[in-house]
Amino acid sequence: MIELINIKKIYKDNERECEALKGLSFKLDRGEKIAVVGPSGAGKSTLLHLMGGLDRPSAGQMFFEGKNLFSLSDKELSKYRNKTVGFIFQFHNLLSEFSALDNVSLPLLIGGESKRESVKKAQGMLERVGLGSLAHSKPNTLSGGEQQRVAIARALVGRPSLVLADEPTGNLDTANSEKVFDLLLDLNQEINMTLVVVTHNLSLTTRLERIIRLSDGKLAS
Amino acid sequence: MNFLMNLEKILGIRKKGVRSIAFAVAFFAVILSMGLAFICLFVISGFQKEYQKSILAFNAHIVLFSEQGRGEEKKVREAIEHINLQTQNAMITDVSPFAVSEAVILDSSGLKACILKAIDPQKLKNVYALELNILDGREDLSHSLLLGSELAYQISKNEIKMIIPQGASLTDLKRSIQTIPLAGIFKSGIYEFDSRFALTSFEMLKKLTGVFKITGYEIALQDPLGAPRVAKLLEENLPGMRAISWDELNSSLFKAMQMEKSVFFIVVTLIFFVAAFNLLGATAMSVYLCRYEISLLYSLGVSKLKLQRSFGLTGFLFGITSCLMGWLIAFLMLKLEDYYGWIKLDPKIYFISTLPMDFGPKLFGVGLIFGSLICFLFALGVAKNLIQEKYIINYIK
Repeated sequence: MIELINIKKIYKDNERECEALKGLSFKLDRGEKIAVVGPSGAGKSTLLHLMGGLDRPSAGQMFFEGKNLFSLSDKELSKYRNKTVGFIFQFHNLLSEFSALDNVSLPLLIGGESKRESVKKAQGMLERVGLGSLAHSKPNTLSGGEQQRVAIARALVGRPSLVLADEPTGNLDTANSEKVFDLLLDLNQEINMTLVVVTHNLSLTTRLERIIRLSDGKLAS
Repeated sequence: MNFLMNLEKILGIRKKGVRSIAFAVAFFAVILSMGLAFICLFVISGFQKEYQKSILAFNAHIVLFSEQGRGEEKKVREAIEHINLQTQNAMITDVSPFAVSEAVILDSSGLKACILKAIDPQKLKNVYALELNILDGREDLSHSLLLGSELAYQISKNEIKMIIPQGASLTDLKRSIQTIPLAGIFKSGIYEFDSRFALTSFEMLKKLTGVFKITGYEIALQDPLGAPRVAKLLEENLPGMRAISWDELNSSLFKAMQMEKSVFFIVVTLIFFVAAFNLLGATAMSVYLCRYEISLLYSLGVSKLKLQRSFGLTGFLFGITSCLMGWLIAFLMLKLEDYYGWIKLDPKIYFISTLPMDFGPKLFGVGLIFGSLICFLFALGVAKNLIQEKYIINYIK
């Protein structure tokens, strides 16, 4: 489904160059659940950004269902982010001035769906994550766990084939981390999506199928 | 466009912007700059219009100088008829002979040089557009004079003593002093004309000088802007006679005005750019304030181009609002100046005594389009530079 070939990413800061990824290559199959682990600065987030089409590599190629992702135009790449990828961030990144329902319907509205259809689907997804009754609540009135569930609902409402989660439980206590992770795995089964989770929580990695270890921008194992 | 407006709402650009004092200061600066630019535009245009109006009030559109001094009227009229048949837009509407002579006015304060211009009083309203103030019962110019308003102000009597010094010795001069009644005053608005000219009839000029010689013919056109073309045609049709259009006759003034206009244009452009740089700062601030929303929307599938355009659109709306408010400020300030007349101009330098202004819709339209376009381009430029992957990925965690 996804194939990364010799991906390199170099950040330039004035005169200094920093090589975040040093020729990374691996493959992921549809529906696969993998964990990306490694110390800080190993290139985990950079990898996720590249896989999600948020950034472009300095060298290398990435194929998604046979299509070279980085040969796509800005418009095509934005369509890929909207229809194919679901992002879950450590800090839920919900829009505080909008309700949970508005936040969840946002990707559908961006994708061009009607407001009615978007709201219907968003309400369904909020019910699926157990927040149907709080659909009209503003994010700041929700707990940390609830906010992250809204973020998960937002990432999955468009039924993406690839979900990229960057420390999705990093900001939650153990009990909430378990709940959120359970939900993520359940939905993974339901939607048959590929799940890539960056985490420091080693106990969570044991529940995933494969672990990719990164060290200094390279695959450690 | 609808989606861009929604995007703006999501980004909360305006809401966030208004919350920021710095943004409000930038907005205020743009409004003031626009206001200043509009004041400059209105005043420059006012000067141009006022000068043009005043010059055309006293001067005919074309002055055709006589070759022989008399006996040419038939030839001139035939040439005019021929040109009228040839031309469509710049039709000659009237022609009037004139004669000039130097004169000296004797007054209790001393001698004053003036130019005595003889015209056909019947054509006073057709060829000239002067502001006249004629004394009761003295409408006939055959035995009286019309003084320029500034000259009359210096004299302030109902009659004057005048001599024409052409070829006369000092003893002759004393003997030839004549008392002439004043018919009234005229005002063109140009100090140069109003302080130096006296108008009279041909009979009066003949009486004063003892000779009668036509200096030339003053010609009125339907379209004053067609004067150079018609002047050329007149010269072609009347060999030996020299035709000068009103703009050529006042070329030194127009050249000075053109230079003034060029300087003002540079100043106005700089003001517009100061305004645009204020906007540049405000947009950069907006992008910074909305950095999380931008990153989030980008990750959810909004293209970079749409995000950039959204800020461009904000800049455009910002530009239109600032232009409208700037125009309003300029309009109110100049209306107050017009009412109270705080600024007094020295007519010896500027030819007019009050600040001229022109609020034509064309100027407003040009200002609005120019201002909005600059704001749009500057905002888009900033957004294009700041909304890039390398910045976006830093804001989303």
